[in-house]
This record gives sequence, C-alpha cells and structure tokens, in this order.
Amino acid sequence: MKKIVSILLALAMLIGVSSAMAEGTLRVGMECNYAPFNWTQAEPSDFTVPIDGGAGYADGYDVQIAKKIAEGLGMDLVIVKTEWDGLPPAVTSGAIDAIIAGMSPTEERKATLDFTDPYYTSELVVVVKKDGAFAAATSLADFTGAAITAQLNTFHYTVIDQIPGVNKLPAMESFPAMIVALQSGAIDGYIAERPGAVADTTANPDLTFIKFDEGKGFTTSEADVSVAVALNKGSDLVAPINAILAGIDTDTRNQMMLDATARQPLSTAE
Amino acid sequence: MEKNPTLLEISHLMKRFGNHEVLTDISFTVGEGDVTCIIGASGSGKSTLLRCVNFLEEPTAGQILFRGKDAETGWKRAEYHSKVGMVFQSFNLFSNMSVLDNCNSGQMRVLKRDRKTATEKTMMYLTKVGMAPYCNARPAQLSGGQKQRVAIARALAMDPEVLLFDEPTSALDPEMVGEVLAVMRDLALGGLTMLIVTHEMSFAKDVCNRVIFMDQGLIVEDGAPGEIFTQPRQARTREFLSRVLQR
Amino acid sequence: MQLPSDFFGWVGFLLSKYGSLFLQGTGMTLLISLTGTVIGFLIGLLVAILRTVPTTRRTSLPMRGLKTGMNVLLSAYIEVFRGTPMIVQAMVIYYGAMQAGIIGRGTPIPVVAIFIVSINTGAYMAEIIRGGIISVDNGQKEAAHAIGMTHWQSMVNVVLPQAVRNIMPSIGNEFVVNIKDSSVLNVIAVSELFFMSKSAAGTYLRYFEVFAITAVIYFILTFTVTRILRLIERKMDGSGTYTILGSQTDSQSAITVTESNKEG
Repeated sequence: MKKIVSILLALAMLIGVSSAMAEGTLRVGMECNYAPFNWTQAEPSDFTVPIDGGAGYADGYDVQIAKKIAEGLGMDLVIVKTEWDGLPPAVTSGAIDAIIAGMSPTEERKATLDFTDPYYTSELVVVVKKDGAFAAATSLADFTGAAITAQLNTFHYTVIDQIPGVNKLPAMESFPAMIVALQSGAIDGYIAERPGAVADTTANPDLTFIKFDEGKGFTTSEADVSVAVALNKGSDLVAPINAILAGIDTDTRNQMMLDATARQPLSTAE
Repeated sequence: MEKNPTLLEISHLMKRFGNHEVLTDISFTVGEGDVTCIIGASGSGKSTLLRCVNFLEEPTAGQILFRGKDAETGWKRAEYHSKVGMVFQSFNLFSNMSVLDNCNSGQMRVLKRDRKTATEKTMMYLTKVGMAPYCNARPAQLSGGQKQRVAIARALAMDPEVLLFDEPTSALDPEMVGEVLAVMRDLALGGLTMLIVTHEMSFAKDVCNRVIFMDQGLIVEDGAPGEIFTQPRQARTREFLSRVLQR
Repeated sequence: MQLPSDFFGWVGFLLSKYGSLFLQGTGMTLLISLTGTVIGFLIGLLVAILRTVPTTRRTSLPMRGLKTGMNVLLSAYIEVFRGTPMIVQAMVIYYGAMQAGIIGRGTPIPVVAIFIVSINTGAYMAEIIRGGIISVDNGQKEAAHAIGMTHWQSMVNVVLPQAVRNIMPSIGNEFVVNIKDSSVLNVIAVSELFFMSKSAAGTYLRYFEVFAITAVIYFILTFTVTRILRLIERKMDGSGTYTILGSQTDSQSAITVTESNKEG
C-alpha cells in the first residue's frame, strides 16, 4: 500500500513539474464566501473567473482587482478557493502566489507576509434591527448600554470598546450567525464593514445599518480598515502590483464596489 | 512392543512458564503404528507436552526428533506440521469457513494442492468420519460431536504420520463422546500413529497399545494398558487410577 | 421574482441557485472520504499483521532487531496520527510537501486529500483492528498454526476475516466520521460539501436554510453508508441455512437445515 502511495506521489510530482512550466499563471487564494468582496456562484458570467478544481465561479470586488492585477502582469488568473486559515501557509509554501481575500495588513500579519498598498478602504458601521431601540442612532454615544458583538479574530471586535458603556458580548464566528443573533434579539447590533452591511440588510430587510458621519464613528488605523494583497515574504510581485494598484483611483474603486454589490447574487435574484 | 521405525523421539523435554516448571524431564519415543494414551491428573503437564511436540509452546530445554531429524531445525515448518497433526479439545474449526473449506484450506495453502485434489481428499475423509453430507455447513451450525469429527477430518486431510489428540472428548456432552471415540478407534485399527491425552479410561484400555502415566511434569509409569490398569507398579499410579476408575 | 420570505421558500431558492455546487461538493466529500477510509482500512490491516508477527527462540538477532524497530515505527505512526488533528496534518503534509518541493502546483489536490485521510484513518483502523484480533478466540490461531500456516496465512485466511466481521460496527463509525471530518480539508483548497455550504451562506446570508440543506445531505450520506455496511455484515455471516447433501443417486433426498432446527 505504501508503495502505491509513493508511486502516486511520484506521478503527481511529474504532473506538478510539467505544469509549473506554465510560467504565466497567477494563482490567487481567497475564500469566495464573503459577498460583495468574493463569492461563489454556479453560473458563469462575463465577470466571473472559474474556480480552480471546477467547483463553481468566483466573482466580487476582490476577483475584479485580481483580474486587473493579472492583466497588468501579463499572466493568466487562477482562483484557488481556500479556507481562511489555509491561506497564509498556502502563500508561504508557494501553493499560491497571492492572497486577495479582504485581508487587512495588520502588524501581526506583516511578520510573516508582505503586503501591497491597500486596494480598498472601507468604513465601519453597526447593523441593527430596523424596529429596534438603536435604529435612529447617529453617534457612538447613542449605543450606550447596547449589546454589541463582532466577528471572531477581527479588529472589528476591538473597536467595540470605543463605545462608552457598551455591553460587549463574546465574538461570533460568522456574519450569518450574527444576523440570526440580531434577529432573535440575542444582540442589539454587530460591527460590519459597509459593503458587507449593505449585503446583509438587502437579504434581511428587517435590518438596517448605522453609518457615522466624519468624527462621530469609530477611530481606526489605516491598516485596520483597508485591505491589501498579501504575498510571500520577499516576493518580487510587491512593486509591480503596487504600480498596477496606483492606476486604479478611489472613484474607480468605489464604482467597482458598487458594481460588485449590484452583481452579487442577492441583488440579482431574478 | 513390536520393532517398528521410531517416528518421534523426545529427549529430556523441559518446559517452564516463568517460575513454574510444568514439564521437568520427559523422555520417550513413539513408534510407527503406536497408539499411545497419556493419562494423569490435571496440571500434570499432559497438554503442555503435546503442545510442545507441535510447537504451540516453545520447550525451555530438551530435544524433539522426528524421523531422526530435529523437529525445529531439521524440518521445514509446513512439512513438519502436515506430518504431525493435532486435534484440539475445543475443536477450533475455522468459524469463518464452511466444513469443506476448513478441510481444504490447510491442503491448499500449506501443501499447495489444487482445489480439485483437495476437495477429493476432503470428501474422502469427511465420509470416513461420517460428516460428508454436512460439507456446506458452517461450524456454528454443528453440534460438538460433529465439530470434533470435522476437526479430525481436517487433520487427516493433511496426510499426517502422527496425530496428536489433546483431550478430544473432554468438551463434549456424554451422548456425543461415543461417536468421536468410534472414529478414533477406526483410525487406530487402520494403523494411524496416535498420541492421545485423554480421561476416557475404557477407551485407553481398549484401543491403545501403550499407556503413559504422567504426574507433576514427569513420566511415572509407561507400559501396556493391561499392566498399567491392572497391576500398576507405582503408588501414585495406583492412587490416580483408584480415584478415576471409581466413576 | 422577489427574494423568498419563508424557510421553505429559501430552501427551494438556494437549491435552485446552488444545487449544482452542493452536488459537486457532495461528490468531492464522498470521493475523498470513501476512498480514504478504504485505503486507511487496508493500511490498518497491514499494520496489524506486521505488529503481530511472532518471534520464536529461533528468530535471529538481526530479525529481532528489525521487528523491534518496525514495531517502534508503527507505534509512533499510530500515536502521531491519532494524536494530532487532521486539519493540522492536512496543512503540514500539503503545504510542507509543497515547500519541500515534493509536490508541485499541478499535483491534483484530491489525490493529496485522499492520502491525508488514508494515513489518518489507517492509524485509527490499526487500533480498531487490533481490538478485533484480540476478540478472536486464540484457538483459531492455534489451529492454523497446527496445520502449518505461516503467520501471514493464518492472519489473512482465519484471524482477520473473523476480526473484521467483529469490528464492522467500528468500521462503519470510521466511515461516518470521515464523511463529516473531510470538511477540514477546505484549508487545502478542497471544495467539499461544508465549504460549499459556507459559500452559499456567505453569499445569501441565510444561515438556517443553508445548513439545514447541508445537514440533510450529510445525513443521507452517512445513513446510506451504514446501511450498505450492514448488508456486508450480513453477507459475511453467510446464509442461516445449509443443505445436507443427499446420496449420490438421489438428489431429492437433500435436506435443507435452517438455523432453528439444527441438532444439539
């Protein structure tokens, strides 16, 4: 049995070597589970990219950025759908070239990965029930006493402390879980980034989100609210990608995000 | 005893389990055609002796010769075991196989006979023990006496020169003891060399041409059944027989 | 068409939009868990045979050394792969091998995934099979020995068939565990059922409906597999009846005996 396995691996190695010869491929890793940044759909469209391995098609803001980068580098784009925890080892081991998955360039991550300049900067909002006590809030102080939570292992969770007198609940695993908690009344609100909040409230019309005017919302660092492309330490793609990103200005980015939001399956359920 | 070629020669066999010496010093020979019964109290080492002969237990000291060659080093394992077969107290039929396959498996895998030859042999011996119609049954579907007869056929199918019997009827209900002893009697009359550990004294008297009495790891007395049963020389033998023959 | 408003509406909607992806995910889950479990079972059998090789006083010193060394290696294998989570094994094996250059980008990921599940399952199977072997009456091995079978022959022909029959329920367990645990392979980019469900939930943001669908699919998979294994169990037991052969001349005198009317 062990013999058969090693023969199989040897064969696989041969296949690996021969296809690595296809130099012009840019392998990008993302989860494809987080509309409107990246999602999976069953049917192709002009905007989608097939997911490597044949399980559906990827689309979203991150996919469009990836397309522009691949075009600028003169390489073919391959989307490798990988779960979040598998993304860093994938890029450090060389299984993929870049992570474009809505990942923020935090100091901890910079220890193992190199980041490009941000390819999107978003604002933090609070998602609440439309008929709830906090639907008319306009500033952080309006949320005193509210039971608020955010996603596990994200900086969203740390900014909750900026709300005076808040009832900070344990972090939750995912956005769908938090939607359910909000609708059932277990929480009063959760932190999200604006594009995500738009998606959430479209799917669940009983929810709305509170956005804050300049100065009335959360204080965050640039690194926290922006997302960038993550590469292996010492990768020589950092500079070329930065050059490409420099050519995509803020207006274009916002329009791309609006388009992606409009294209996401929730909005286009026809 | 008639002069016939020696098949088994056991010299100074000793077996120790940890600190407990089960066989102290056993020496005897088995000639071709001999039907030898080994009797003795529980714990005297009778079964251990048999198990040492076919290496289910490893002797601590001593030597076993088969046809003059050392049983461990002078014979190929497979050959030795086909020549020295064993029938167990608890039958030990392979429960995942039918009666037919039980008897075929040793022939085909150890003796490398093809299925046709093996099956012919099997049916011949099954007929001999009266179990031919049951060739498709599984051991779990048979009674104790039937199982033991199949076990004997399985051992015979290997064409052994010596057949060891380790208390073959001790686990059987009284009604079934007879059918197994009948088969064994037939085999003895047919000239098969047999080494039998048993408690069946009347069988020993009738069928064996030699009786060995063992006690505490030693052979105490060794002779013809007529002598041992009617005029035992040793006190221990007399004691044992008086206890056992009361029944 | 509006977005659906009730539970079943959403279920139907999700199935229509994501149906093919659920199917693909299910196929991948089945492929990896079934193949991985079967190969793991074979690995477990091999390990069990190797670990039970007996030494007699005739075994030479080099052979004894080899046997001890092999036992140490196999024990280490079992402890390591039972003692670490499969998700960690997956990442270490796949990305470690990638880093070391043993595999390349073109290596089909399902092949690596099956390999990971196999050696993980093999470690558990080795112990399960060892338990099954212990449960087989010692007399079986003794009879095989007395007839002259080698260790390998007695294991393969007598002991293991009985051991395997005894442990079928545990094997069923391993299948079920693997069907569900294959979900951790999404860290090496395997698009199995659970990862697909996360995609659907992340895209349509409907938690209950998506995972209700997923739970039903997993249940169907595990239920089917366990039913099939029960069938195999029954087949291993053989028929409850047997035919007593009639005489040579008259086949009509054959009697069929059923389990209930056997003698003794």
